[in-house]
Amino acid sequence: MCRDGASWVQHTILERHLGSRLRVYALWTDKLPFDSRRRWDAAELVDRRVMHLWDGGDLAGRWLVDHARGFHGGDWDAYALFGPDARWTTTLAAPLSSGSPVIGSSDQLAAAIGPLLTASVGRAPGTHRPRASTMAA
Amino acid sequence: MTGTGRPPRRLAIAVAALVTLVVVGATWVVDQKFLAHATPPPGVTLTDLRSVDQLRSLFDADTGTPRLILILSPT
Repeated sequence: MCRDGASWVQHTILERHLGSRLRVYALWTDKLPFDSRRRWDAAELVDRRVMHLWDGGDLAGRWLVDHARGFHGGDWDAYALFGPDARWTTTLAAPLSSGSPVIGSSDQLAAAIGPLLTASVGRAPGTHRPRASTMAA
Repeated sequence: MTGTGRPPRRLAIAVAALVTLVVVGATWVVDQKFLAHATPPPGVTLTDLRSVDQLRSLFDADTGTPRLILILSPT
């Protein structure tokens, strides 16, 4: 199931929006009987916008379940989508969309992420459009 | 009556050989399918996450970009 979700993100989101700004944090954790770091092969998630992180103890998943306001996923095979303005200072901003399993929530994720990707097309990676007031100054 | 012990002995040897073959085959399949070292595509790397704060730093460094957190298992 997890691998299906990863593959779906690669082919349906990343490959169809090659020019869009998006950062994906793929947190890989040890949940199933044969899971291990040595079994990791990226599961087709090969886009350069993806950062792969090994989280064997599922620190992030458990943190999201226990502390993230508005997070509706489980501690694995889950996703959380955030807009460009979201910050994680003392508390993490509520996700725009979240759920699990990833492949089972794909319609919901596609609907939520579509407008974000359309809005960010054409901006060069690493740049952020300044606010109008800043430009005027 | 002189050959009464031979057929069971042959059968036992055949069964032992078959069991050995099955065990070796199953071990090979399990090793290849579930335990072997998987190979990621060239250029794709995996970084250890040491703490939630590390993820928090990465997340805030990418402010200005839509961000998607995925929690997955490798198998």
